[in-house]
Amino acid sequence: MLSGAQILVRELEQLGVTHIFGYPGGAAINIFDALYDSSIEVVLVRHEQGATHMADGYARATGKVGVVLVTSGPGALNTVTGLLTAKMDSVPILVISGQTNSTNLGKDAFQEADVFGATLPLVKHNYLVLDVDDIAPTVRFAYELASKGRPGPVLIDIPKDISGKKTRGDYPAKLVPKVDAEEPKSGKLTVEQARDCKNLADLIKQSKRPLLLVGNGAVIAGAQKEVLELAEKLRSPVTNTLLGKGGFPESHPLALGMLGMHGTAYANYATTRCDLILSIGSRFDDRINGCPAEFCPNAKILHIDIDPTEIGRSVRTDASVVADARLAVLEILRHADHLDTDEWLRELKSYRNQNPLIIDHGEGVVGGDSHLLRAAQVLTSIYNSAPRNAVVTTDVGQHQMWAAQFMLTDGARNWLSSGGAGTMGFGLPAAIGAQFGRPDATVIAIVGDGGFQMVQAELATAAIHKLPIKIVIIDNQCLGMVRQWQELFYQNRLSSVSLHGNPDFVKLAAAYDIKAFYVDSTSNLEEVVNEALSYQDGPCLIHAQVQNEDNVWPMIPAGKSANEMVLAHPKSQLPMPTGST
Amino acid sequence: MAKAHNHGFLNCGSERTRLELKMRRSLGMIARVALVFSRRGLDIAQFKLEETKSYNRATVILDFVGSPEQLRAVKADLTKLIDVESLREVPEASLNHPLPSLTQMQAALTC
Repeated sequence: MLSGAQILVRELEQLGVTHIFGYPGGAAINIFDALYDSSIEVVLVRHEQGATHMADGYARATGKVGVVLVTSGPGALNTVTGLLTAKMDSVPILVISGQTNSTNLGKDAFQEADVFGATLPLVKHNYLVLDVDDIAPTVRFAYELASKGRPGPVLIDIPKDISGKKTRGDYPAKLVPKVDAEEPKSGKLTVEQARDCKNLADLIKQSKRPLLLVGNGAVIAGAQKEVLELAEKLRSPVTNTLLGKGGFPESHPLALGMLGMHGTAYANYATTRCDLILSIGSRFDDRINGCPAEFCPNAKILHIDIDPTEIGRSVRTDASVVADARLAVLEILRHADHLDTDEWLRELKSYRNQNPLIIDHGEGVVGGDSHLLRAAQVLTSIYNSAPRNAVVTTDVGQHQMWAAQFMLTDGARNWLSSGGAGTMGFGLPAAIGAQFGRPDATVIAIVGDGGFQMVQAELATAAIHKLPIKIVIIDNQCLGMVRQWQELFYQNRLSSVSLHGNPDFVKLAAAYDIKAFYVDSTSNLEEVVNEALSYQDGPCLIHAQVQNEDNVWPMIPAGKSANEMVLAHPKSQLPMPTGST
Repeated sequence: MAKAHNHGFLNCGSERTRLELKMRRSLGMIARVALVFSRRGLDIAQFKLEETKSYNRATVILDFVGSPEQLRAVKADLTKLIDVESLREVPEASLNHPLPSLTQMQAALTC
């Protein structure tokens, strides 16, 4: 006879789970007790939000499902931000939450919360298990559901009496998938999908100025090789979304880098001039498409997405394929021909030479001091010294955009950033999760002083496990992106953006017995970066004190089209953006 | 779909629509459907859950008012729900009883 908790743990073991990121409590104590005898390593975090971001980072870096275990009430509700983050970026995580006894449900019992109800809009699906015999099939179903089709978070809420109840436990040892087919498991396209691919290929043949747009769907599908082959066969320039970094090598001669609000000028210019754009797993969200009516005005818009509801949702679509990105690109390759794009590539190269990425020097900014260290200089130095296959995680804000611009990503699953949700505090725990998933990789967390302080307690988690992650705090002593908006659009009325009172981050690291460096000039930057990158005895931290009035350029004001991109600091106040963020 | 006769607080161009969903019975299935509407600031004017011959299946019939774009969006999100097996718009002509007037719907939504 096994308890529900023992069955749960046995099922997770059979599914191949090796790590659980968790935090115990009364309602989950049965499950933690069952884990005492398990081969699964439980990573005790310092806050449940950290657990979800660790599972998220683990999943993004490996492609496997990240698993979280928390207790009821506040424990489970602390996972809500992590669920949103994973949902927005299609990341497969499984959150298991303990719940008060089923007989107490609805009685406002101690640490009771309607976790099932609260998380309904934030998950791909969720369950409240009320019968111990449902635990095994639910876990199997939920695990597969998280990673199948368009991945996403799934939550299972298990009352304590259900996890403690004994039952036969004679479930089949072999996993029996029970999720209805969303797409062929055979790795083959249907006849209809193949026909749609042929249609796309025929349209591509007519193009003189093609543009490939690589999104997160290409990364998830593992389509890097096929996308590279298609780009080179067509001799088409390639741009990528923030989450599409790594879906196509950004150092490739055909790569234009990231497009969108803070994308490269030349990638945005290409969208205004192309006569065809093929999105491979991008959802055309408002970061790259602030003004749908003016997006790619001269182009046929082709869309490959595994999620049929994304087709036509944000932009008009001239043709589409609903399929796995890798399989679709593979099929298009069968029909694709070389295109004469010499003139198109020359045009883009000329524009690029005239409008390269710039490191802002604060001209026009009151108090701007061009002698201080710039964030982009720090990031460039790290990029130049780190291995090409290093995993980079970020928080959200200016440093995230500079990292996206200046730290090119050549391999899939090497760029982990909260795109859709824009979750501050993601970078550090995501790096911890990524290092657990890829112990041999160099993992670098690029974080802001704001986001880092939201999750800094997870320094303990990194230190205890001696994870050799590199934590780079880009400290501009303010919430830089909000400050940038206030400067540009709100007459420089700086409201609640100063982070005056930041701790001494080097001393903070020392309190956790973590090696740390301080840098505030270019004179010793390279030396510090190299020493940090070579340090392997545990985590280390670089506190980079940078100019606090730098802005991220280019910038397309929210709600505007690429034609209204601002390339550098404007001479006059910009009009209030019509877009929200 | 029937054209709206009275816009009131409803969006200009709003239309009233009846949807029929064949669903797997599961905990929270009604909440999942309702959330697709509430997250967009839409309300459901009428909602009916019918048993079927199969104990683990149910039919949901609902009426709501929204723009064609909102209709497209809610249909897309409803089809993504794990519990929804099929969805169709019910043509007004096939209804045994006419859809309630927009005035009635507005009264129901504002009370």
